[in-house]
Amino acid sequence: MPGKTHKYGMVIDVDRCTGCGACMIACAAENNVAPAPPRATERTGITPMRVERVSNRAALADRQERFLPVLCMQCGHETPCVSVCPQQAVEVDRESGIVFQMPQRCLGCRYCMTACPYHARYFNWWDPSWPAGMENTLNPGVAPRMRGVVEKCNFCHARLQSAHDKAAAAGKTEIDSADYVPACVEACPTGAITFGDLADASSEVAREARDPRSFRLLPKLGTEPKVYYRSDLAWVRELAEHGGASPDSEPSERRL
Amino acid sequence: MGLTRRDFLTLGIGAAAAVPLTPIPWKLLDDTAKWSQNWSWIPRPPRGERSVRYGTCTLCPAGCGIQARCVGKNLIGIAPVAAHPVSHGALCPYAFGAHQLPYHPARITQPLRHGNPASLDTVVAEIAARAKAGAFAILDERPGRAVSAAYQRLAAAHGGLYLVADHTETTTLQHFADGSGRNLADLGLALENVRTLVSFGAPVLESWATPGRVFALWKSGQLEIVQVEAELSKSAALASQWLPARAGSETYLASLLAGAIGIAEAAERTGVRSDKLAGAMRFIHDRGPWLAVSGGGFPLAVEQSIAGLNAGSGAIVARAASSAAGARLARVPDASAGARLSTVPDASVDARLSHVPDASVDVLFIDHGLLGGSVSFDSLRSKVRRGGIVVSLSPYRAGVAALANFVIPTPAFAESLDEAPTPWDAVSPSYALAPALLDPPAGATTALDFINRVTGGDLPPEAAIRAKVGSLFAARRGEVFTFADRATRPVTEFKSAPDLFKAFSTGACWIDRDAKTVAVNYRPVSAGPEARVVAPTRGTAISPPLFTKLDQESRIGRA
Repeated sequence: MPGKTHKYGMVIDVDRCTGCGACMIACAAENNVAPAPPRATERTGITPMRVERVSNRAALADRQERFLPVLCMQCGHETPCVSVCPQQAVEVDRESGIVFQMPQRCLGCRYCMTACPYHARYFNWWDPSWPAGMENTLNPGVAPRMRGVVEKCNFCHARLQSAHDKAAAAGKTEIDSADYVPACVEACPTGAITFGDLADASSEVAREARDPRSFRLLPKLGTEPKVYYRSDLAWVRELAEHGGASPDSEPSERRL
Repeated sequence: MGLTRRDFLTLGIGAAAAVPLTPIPWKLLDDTAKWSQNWSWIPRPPRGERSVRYGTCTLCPAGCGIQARCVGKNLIGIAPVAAHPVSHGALCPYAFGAHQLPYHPARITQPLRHGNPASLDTVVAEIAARAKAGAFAILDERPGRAVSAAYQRLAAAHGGLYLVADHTETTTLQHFADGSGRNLADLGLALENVRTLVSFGAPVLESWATPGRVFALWKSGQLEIVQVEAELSKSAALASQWLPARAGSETYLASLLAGAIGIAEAAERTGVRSDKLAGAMRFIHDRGPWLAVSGGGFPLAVEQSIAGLNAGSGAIVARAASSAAGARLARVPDASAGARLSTVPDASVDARLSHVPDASVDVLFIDHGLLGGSVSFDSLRSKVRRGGIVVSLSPYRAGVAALANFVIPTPAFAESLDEAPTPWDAVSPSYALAPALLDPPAGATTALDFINRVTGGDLPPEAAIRAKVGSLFAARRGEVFTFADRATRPVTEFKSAPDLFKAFSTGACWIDRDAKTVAVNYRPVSAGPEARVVAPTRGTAISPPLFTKLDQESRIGRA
């Protein structure tokens, strides 16, 4: 019998993000993402959570910058990566709303990377490799991915599984929301990321998502992301609206 | 009845049609998938019982509470401790990769003599002979610990010097210490009493001071930032006001804040638009009490003018009376040692590296801490006489240890019992222990054990730490926050010093919120050998391997 349907999502307060990168490190540690081999670059590295630096592109004296953590948006409608995958290696989980990437099915064609408008997918160009002994620090809840497959953020699905196990052991059918907190949310030192069930209108994340200052990236595409952002700055919201691509934009800005 | 061709075909076709309805193909697919993900060269995570252990991060002086996720004896992840009285549930990126530090490629497990492996006995004998024959000094990159007090005792007993490093983070406090004649370790920043932090290049939102404390005040809106910096740093980007003063012109902004010059002159000198300057001045003064801090690296006169902005503000305080006694206790392992230490002149108790004359030391021991330290080799080498030696006590061959004459391998993160004394910016004295969660590799020895062997000292690190905990128990002040149950109770509720030590060993933090403070007055020290410019000491010798995510695989860079 299927359980209650959830719609996990998050709201990221851009004005509170200090760009420290704690979320990136915590994400990599939790999900057994290996340190980069020497040849890896910004384009070939694996950062399921990636903090981008964006600016209003004003002259230096009036320039403003913010940090925008970008991860899989967990698109809720016409999910681009799902529709293009020839292997059915990407699925939207009905119970959680999470877009799952199954590396076992992935053949590495990278159509999904092309289709993703948020550049939130990463290809394993190399087999994962850790310095000697460091394999002892890997999280047994997550299998390291091999060379040749695509991966992305899955809202720390292993933690959701652990929360389900804990609930089942206690004879419950529903998890305690405190038991399911993705690594990036837990790591943020300023509490800039709020996570929870968007389907629960009374949840903090749902309330924040309804805040007039909240927005989503590239809403015109109609992908209904479950990751929201929030900022008091009009230029940040405008950047999200249009993607910020212009011939003179910085490479980091073009990524949006 | 014989088997006909028709029967055979019927069975075959029927079986083929039924196979998809059995688990066989799905099992095959599943097994193939698993097989294709489990090549022998793909590392396999450890297996074992899962548990959570609590401790304190000692990578920097902030002393943040951590929960270590373990599988068997292995650490597989670090997470913050919510409601921690010092870190306020925050951790920096270093802490999240800390569990991988013991396996850093630069890790050493054998002493090095001029870059070549040597036995510990050989190294001890050679260094001991040189230390006896000449002047030695111990540079402590993590002062304030019970172990630091043991260093002080050793230095005092054997005619050596105990030194602390000059860190750019504490530049403004160092000037207050020099001007007031107080120990740097007794001073703190009353951030809770100010509304605006005027930062002259200090990375105030980039893991500066105790990050959790700064972030808590900043995100609540209680503390706003005005950043004076030529570059648009991360702190400048997030500041309420960014004043992009030309490099070298910061002194004019200090003069403007002091009321010595007008906005027009400041605008002309600094290159910042006058309307922006006027807005920032209004912002600062309208909000109320403010504190100016320096990021270091400025000429002495500029540093002094920045420090002078806080004169009479009450924002820089000293832990006084009973709390100062508490701070003093932090350096004294036991009551009898207090008498011996009191014979040591104050100058040698908190002597800073920059105060030591050049070419005056024959053997310089450096306790680098867990990240290989941040002091530059040049600033150390200049203090050592020709023919003298630098002995680096570090888990890694990196930074100073890569250039030192001798390198002694010490335990890495979570491999030995460690301490987190009061952070440099704190107002309330605090103390926590970081229990050993991993076994150190054979060959690693703690810095104090090694210096004991060389100098003939006899106080092992754990005894020094237990004595410190004993002194906290005897003082019967403050409260203890235990991580596992997030409960706070007064020290007086603990039955004995070992009981308190046990609580510390399983994750606890002592803090004395009622400690009294007194405002410190600033008096600039005239330029001379006692007042040198502190060279910038940012960064650490090593960082967790996962920092490639920040440095190489993205453009965000590290804080």
